[in-house]
Amino acid sequence: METVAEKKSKAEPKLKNMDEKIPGLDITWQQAKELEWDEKFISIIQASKKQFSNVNVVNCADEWFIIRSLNRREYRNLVQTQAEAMAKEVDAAADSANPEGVRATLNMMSEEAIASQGTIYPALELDDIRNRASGVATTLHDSILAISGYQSAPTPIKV
Amino acid sequence: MFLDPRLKKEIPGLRRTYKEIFLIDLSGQPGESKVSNILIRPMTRQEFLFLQQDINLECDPTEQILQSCIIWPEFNWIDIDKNPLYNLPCMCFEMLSKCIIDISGFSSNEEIAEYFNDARIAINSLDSVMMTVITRHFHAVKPCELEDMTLSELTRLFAIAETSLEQPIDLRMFLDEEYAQKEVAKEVRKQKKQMNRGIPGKMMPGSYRVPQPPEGWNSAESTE
Repeated sequence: METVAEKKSKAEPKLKNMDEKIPGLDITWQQAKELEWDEKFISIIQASKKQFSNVNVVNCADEWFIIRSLNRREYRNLVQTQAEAMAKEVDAAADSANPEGVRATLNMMSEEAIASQGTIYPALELDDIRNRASGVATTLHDSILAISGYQSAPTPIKV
Repeated sequence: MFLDPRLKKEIPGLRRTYKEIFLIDLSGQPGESKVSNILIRPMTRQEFLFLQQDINLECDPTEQILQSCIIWPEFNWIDIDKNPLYNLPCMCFEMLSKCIIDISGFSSNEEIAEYFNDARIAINSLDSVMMTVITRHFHAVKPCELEDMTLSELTRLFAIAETSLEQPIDLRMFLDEEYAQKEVAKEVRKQKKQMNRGIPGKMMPGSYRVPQPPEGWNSAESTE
């Protein structure tokens, strides 16, 4: 059984004022239309904002991605996993003629891991990222870390 | 600014323990840490040297800085699942550690110069003059030991130490501003007069010049 509110929200897009802000977002229906966001995408953003505290939308290689900030615990776990991978690779690199190459590969793996964990939509596995354009992982990684800080630098006050 | 009521009780005690403390207001920041205020202290010189070594070895000292310098509230740094700071967005740790490095001041010459200038201004007070005279006279007394004395104990030591000076301290210099200005002007005039008479005054770096040899003088001829 649908509630009255649910029925009303389904009818809303047809009756909506295009200059009104989308509930829960900082943009209007008109702006969303110009960005070519469909109803489904908007509802995913709304749901993501309810679930996570810091949600942003990024366009990269003609595709929209919904990303969120990572907390320190998640970040630390990723770094630790990368450190373990590095320890294994260091042994392998001892015989390798190209240690710089090993390091570069590990950095890319770290970027991919952060991009995968911080992207809400579309859900990205590591293979999904690797099959996309080469800059997607770096762009998502940089954007995720950029939103994972304070909005304004904390100011210490002497007491 | 929101101030945690529990913190209000703790500040006086923590200030006495750490001498210099700073408050950071985290209320309204993103994340679910449920920590509204934290108190931090500056790093000591030794801690700063360790930090430089960590950076040289490409180790990440961020968490170590926070662990050492966040003095309130107490966090569980062993079990990070019980530490609410780990719910903060990950880059907040970097921003907080930067705050600690900034208040510590060792990282830039400008900061050091600013602190030094403040200290210079403070040393002109009667209190600082007393400390200087006492430590010059009683070599075994450390400045930190003087901090634990009462005023009556300090003035007694000061009176003894003053006897070693050529002239007693003119207390009017600290009590009468007009008189102090006149005395300073008098001293400046006296120094200028001495300079004109060729009496060496205060040595300034670069002020000493080797006189030019007389005209026609040749070092090669003189040695022959």
